Amino acid sequence: METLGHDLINLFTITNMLCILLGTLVGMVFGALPGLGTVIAVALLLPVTFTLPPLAGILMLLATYQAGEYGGSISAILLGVPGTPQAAATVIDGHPMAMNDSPGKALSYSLLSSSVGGIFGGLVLIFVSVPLAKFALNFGSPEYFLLGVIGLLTVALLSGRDKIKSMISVVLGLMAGTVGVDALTGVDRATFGQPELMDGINLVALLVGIFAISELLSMISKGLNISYVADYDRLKTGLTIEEMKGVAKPTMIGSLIGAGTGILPGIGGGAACWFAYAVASKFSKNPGAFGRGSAEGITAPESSNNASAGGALVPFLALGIPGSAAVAIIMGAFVMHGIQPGPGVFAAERDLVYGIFYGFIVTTVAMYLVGRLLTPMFARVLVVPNSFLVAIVLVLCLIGIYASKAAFFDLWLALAIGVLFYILKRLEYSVSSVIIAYVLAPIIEENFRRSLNLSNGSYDIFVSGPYSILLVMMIFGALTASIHGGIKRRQNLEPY
Amino acid sequence: MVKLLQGVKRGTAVLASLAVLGGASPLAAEGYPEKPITWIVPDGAGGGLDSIVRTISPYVARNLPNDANIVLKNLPGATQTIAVSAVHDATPDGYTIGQASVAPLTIMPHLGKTSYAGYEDFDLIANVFDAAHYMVVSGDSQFETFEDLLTYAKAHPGEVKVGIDGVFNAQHLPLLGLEQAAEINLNEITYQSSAETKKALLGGEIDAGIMPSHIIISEYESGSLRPVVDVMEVKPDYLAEIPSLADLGFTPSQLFVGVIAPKGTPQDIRDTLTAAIDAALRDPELIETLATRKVLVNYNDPQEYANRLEQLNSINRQILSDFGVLK
Repeated sequence: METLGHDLINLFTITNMLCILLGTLVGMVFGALPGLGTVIAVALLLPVTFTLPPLAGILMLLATYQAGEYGGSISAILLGVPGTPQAAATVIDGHPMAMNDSPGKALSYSLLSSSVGGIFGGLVLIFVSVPLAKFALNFGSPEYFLLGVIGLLTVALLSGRDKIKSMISVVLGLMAGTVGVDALTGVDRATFGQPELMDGINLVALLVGIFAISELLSMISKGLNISYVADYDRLKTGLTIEEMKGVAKPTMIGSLIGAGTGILPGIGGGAACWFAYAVASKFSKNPGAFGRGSAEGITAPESSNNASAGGALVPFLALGIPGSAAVAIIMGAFVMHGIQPGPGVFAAERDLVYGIFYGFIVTTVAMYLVGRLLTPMFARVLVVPNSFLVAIVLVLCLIGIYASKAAFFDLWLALAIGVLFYILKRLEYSVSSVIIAYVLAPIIEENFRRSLNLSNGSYDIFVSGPYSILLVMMIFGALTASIHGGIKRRQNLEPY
Repeated sequence: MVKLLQGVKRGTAVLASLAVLGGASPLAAEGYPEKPITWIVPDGAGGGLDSIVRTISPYVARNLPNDANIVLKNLPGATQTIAVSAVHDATPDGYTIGQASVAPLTIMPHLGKTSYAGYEDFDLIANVFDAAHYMVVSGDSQFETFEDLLTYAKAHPGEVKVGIDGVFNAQHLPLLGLEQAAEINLNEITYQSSAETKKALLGGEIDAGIMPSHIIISEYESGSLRPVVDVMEVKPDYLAEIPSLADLGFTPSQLFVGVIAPKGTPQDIRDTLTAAIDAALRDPELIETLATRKVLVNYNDPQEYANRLEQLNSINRQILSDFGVLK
């Protein structure tokens, strides 16, 4: 069995398969536990890999990474609490579908699109990693700034009817994103002398506060003696061919956007899921369903976060630059075995690299199979009465926050954020706008200022390359289209 | 009894030191360790420093008496000052030690960002390893050597863009010091990590970047990146042919990572810990593992470690004072 110069027998060994299985299980469970997430799962298994052969160890971590990306959406869909930042966009449609229609179906949509995204990311990795990694180098600080601005414009697509409230949400998110030591001058900003705030607001605490604690507060206020799902029929997980066809387009959009952002180090799955969600809603035939349990709204972000996992390996293997926090830890397994990722690795460690390529596809298959097996069990979570669910979720979330940085301060922070967002949600402010602005704020700000440092203050740097000109044109195009659309809508509304 | 009451009032830290002063336990190390030792790691689980400490700690435990147990505690963040502050505030009984690089001990205190005043507020156990950081240019750069870069920078002030992985850290200060010593003016561009600097350099956004030796091996071998000068004191064997700042007549900087303990840790316990680290770093098995991972092991006893910190501290203090940010 020789494919593209690699002996597949070396891949399908019992050790490798067991490692992939273990990684998948750990990743899925950790991904599903709010606050723990992919990075902690990978970090936990890293020391285990030191005693394993390089390929087996690396595949175990990759399986953890992949499964964690899917696992994060299990809690996003069932509880409305994203297990990972990359699953935050999945909440918007996944949770309503689980509550109002079928939790089993929502999970199946997520698993299917995650698997497609994972395979797509794997194929990108196998066939175009070297040229793509070189292409990604064309994106410097000015281009990252412009991409961040485009990301902020997608907020306009996501936001509700009240534009003022949506803009206030964006400003809140941007302000939250500036907390901490300024990366370019070393000056403390809005840290109130708290060392725990020097690296910014802990993303895990922010997500748990925004989603989990505020959701738990509203569950408590609705009454605790009910459970989400009383009708066992709704736990069914199968999808019809028709239903699968219906989500082909958003899944493709998500896969492309996920892989595309994944190859750009520092952008990552946390932003990719929102890009994918916004673009899919723009191109959907039924944009009105978004936000109310649309299958398209689940599949776009879900395929994007798994595709970004494959994408994040592209600059790592080809250039030795990890594309995400999880990949940075996976790099530890390489270093431990004395392997230097970068231009030489394809020649020096040919068997290993091809083993990783094909093994990555295998990890996706493992994720699908394990996911199919466990999905019905996960879906049953919603049968649990809320009086139990609230307590269990709260404890898990608090453990997750503490595990991320071992700082008690973050627990109080999450509680304060939770109460604040419980109120903001009741007042119909846009939660997703806050998060996307928070994720993009450092990308926009740092790259803007770094660009001006590079050009000694000249704004020409933002229109000096072919890619930056293209991005500027996209920004103006999007602005013109939305202003035009706004005017048209106003004319149509005139009779009222 | 009076002693005891005072001790309880002021907390266990004082109690422990009073007990030592009172001669209640002339040999504190006798029976040490009786319980697990907490080793504070200023890095997140899975990070580079974390995995180095995770590799070394079992060997240190093996060389301690009484079947010692070491528990690692990760306290990442704020340029290691969160972890170092935790060591500072811990009871000096030998059951809390911590790993620390040079920035939290010789830079951050001068910026007024720490609860401790400097490295003097700690008992030093031993230095464990060093790091070499190189100024690197792209493979097709016009700068063949460091002298080329200096000559060009002298003629074109503010034009040469050099990437670093943060402000007021172990890359930024050596660069500022070099600019003063060589009388040049570079345009320092700050990134979030050396991986980002590497990406910017490969993408042609900057002219040079400072990066740790182990992340440029593959690029150096393939010729896509060219290290021109080692800015640190140590030199790894795989880049031995590249000159260091010292070779070229400049003062090199230093980046070394050691083990510290809270001030007041009994001398004999410190000796026990120092000896265990020394013995661990002589273990051929550990030496080989660390060599595979390109870690530059460099054991220094407490006195030597203190001398190096003192020297670097005064250099860094001077640079920060000249730069006008000294607090």
